[in-house]
Amino acid sequence: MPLHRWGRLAHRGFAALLLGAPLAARAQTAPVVSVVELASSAIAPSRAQTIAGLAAALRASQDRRDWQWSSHLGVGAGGGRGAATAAGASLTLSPMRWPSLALALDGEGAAFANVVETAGSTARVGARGFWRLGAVTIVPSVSAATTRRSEISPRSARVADVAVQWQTGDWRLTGFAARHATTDWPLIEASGFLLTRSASAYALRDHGAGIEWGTSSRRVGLTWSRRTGLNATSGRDASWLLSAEWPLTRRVSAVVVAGDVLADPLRSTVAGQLVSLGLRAVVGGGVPRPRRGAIATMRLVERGGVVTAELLSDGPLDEPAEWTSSHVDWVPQPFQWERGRWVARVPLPSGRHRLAVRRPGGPWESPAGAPAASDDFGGSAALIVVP
Amino acid sequence: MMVRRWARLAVLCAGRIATAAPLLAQSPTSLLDADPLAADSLRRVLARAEAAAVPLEPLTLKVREGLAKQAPPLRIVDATARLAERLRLARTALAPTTGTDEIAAGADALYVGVQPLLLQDLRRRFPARSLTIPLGVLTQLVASGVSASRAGALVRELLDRGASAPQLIALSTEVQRDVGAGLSPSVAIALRSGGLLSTLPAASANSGGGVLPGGVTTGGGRPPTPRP
Repeated sequence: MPLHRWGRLAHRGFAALLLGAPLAARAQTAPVVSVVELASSAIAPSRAQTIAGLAAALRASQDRRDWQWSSHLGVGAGGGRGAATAAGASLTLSPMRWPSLALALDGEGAAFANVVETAGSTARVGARGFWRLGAVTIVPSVSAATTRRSEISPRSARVADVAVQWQTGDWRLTGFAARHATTDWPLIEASGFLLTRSASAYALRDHGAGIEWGTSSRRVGLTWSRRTGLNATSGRDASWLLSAEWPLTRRVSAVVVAGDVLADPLRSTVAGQLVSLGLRAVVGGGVPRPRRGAIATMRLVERGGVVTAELLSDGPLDEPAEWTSSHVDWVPQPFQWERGRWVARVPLPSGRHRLAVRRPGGPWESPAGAPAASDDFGGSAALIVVP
Repeated sequence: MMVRRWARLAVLCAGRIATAAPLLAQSPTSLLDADPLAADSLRRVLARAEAAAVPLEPLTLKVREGLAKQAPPLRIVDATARLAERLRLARTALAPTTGTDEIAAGADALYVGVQPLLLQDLRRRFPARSLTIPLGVLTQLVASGVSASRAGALVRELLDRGASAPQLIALSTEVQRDVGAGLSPSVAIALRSGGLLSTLPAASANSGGGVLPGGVTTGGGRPPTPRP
C-alpha cells in the first residue's frame, strides 16, 4: 500500500466522532452544553497494517430567543509512515418559530503529507436539514467535496443522502440511503477499489439501517450499511459498526466506535477494521443530575390517546417497590418484576394527579423525573397534569 | 393510651388496604374513628369547611392519603385543616367559580407559593374558562424551581395568546426535562416559553375570554362545574 495513504486513513475514523455524533444528537433537542472530546482511533486495512490517530473536538451550543445554534470543531492527526491532519466543523441553526425544523451546515478538511511520495488535501462542505414530524425525523443532506493531490489536478465529487429516523421511548431506528457521484474522479490505484475498467468516474450507492438505544447519558447503537455501484468498493461491500457512549463520572463518559469501514474514494481510504476509543467531557451545563436515592424514575408515555406513567425502579428482587396515587384513592399498588427491574405502568385519566413510590416499609417519595411537592406527611409526591 | 391508639390505627390501615373498596365509601371522620380525639378534631375542621362552602372531596382525599401513608392521626387532621384553609382562599380568589377541580388546583398552587392575587387576576381575565389545567401547570412550573412570579406571568401570557391545554402541559414537561438535565429553571423556562410563544398569535382584544379569532375556544380542560 502506498505510504502516502496511510496517514489519511486515520481521520476516516474521526468522522463518526467529530461530525456524525453531534449532528445525530441535534436531531433530538440539544440543551445548552459545552463538550470536549478526545479520541484515539486505529484502522487496520489488513492484518499487517494498523494506522493510529488522535482527535480532539470541542462542541458548544447556545440558545437565543428566536434561534438555537450549536457548533462543533474537531481536529485530528493520524500517523503511520505518512501523516495527516483533519479538521471538521459544523454549525446548526434551529429557528424557534419552527420547532420541528433545523438546518445544519458542516464541513471537514484534511491535509496529508508523505516525505516519499505526495502531499495534498481534501475538503467537504455540506448542508443537512432536520424535519421532525412527530416521532419521525427526516434528515436530508447534500454536500460537495474536492481533493488536491500533488500528482493530479483538482477533482470534485457530489454526495447526497437522506435518513429517516423513528424514535419511540429510548429507542431510535434509522434507515438511510446515500449516493456519491463524480464524473472526473480518477480511481485510486492498487488499493481496495476494483479496477475492472479504466473509468475516471465512480457512482456509489450506500444504504443501511441502524438501531440505537439511548438515554440522556448513555447510548448504544449498531449500524449496518452496504455499498454498491459503478466502481464501488471491492472485497468488502457491507459493514457493521458498533458505537457506544457510557458515563464514567457525572461529567466524563467513554465513547467507543468499532467495526468495519468500507473503502472511501472521497477520502482515498481503503476498507478495514476500525476501533476508536474516546473520552467525552462536559465542561459546561447540561449534565444530567439524577436525584440521589430516588426510588424510581417516572416518565409519561402517550399511546393511543392514553397517558401512562411508566415507573422504573432498580431495587433488588427482594425489595418490591410500591406506588400510590390520588386517582386510586391512595391505595398502595405493587410494581411488577420485569427483566431485572421493578416496573409499573399506571394509566392516568384526564386531570391533576399526585403520585408517590416507596420501598417496603420506607417513606413515600416522589419518583425522579417529575415536579414534586411535599405531601404534608414528611414525604413528597409527584405533580402530574394530564390533558 | 398512645400505644393502643397506634395499634388501632395500624389495624385500621391494614384492614383498609385489604378491603379498600368498602372503606372508600366511608366518611372522612369515620376513617379516624379509631382515634376519638383526632376524629373529633377532624369533624370540626370539616364542619368549618362546609360552612365556608369549601369542597369536601379534596379534604376526604387528604385524610385517605394520610392514612395510606401511615401518618399520625393528629398530623392528618392538621394537614386537612391547612388544606381546608387553602381551599377557602382559592375559592374566594377564583369566585364565582365553585368547581371542585378548579378550586383544588388553586389550593395546590397556593401550597407551592403562588399568591392569591394571581389567582384573582387569572379569574378576572378568564371568567368563562376553566383554570384547572393552567393552574396545574403553574403549580408544576413552580415545583420545578421557576419563581412563582415568573411562572404566573408566563401562564397569564400564554392564556392571553390562546395556548391550549396540551401546549401548556407540553411546556411544563419540557421545562421539567431540561431542569432534570441540568439547566437552571430560569434558563429552561426562557428557552421553552420562547419556542412556544413564537408559535402563538399575538394576544387579541378578546383574549381575556380565552377565545381565538374565529370564535374557537382554546385552552382545553373541562369547563367550570356549576355548583349543585
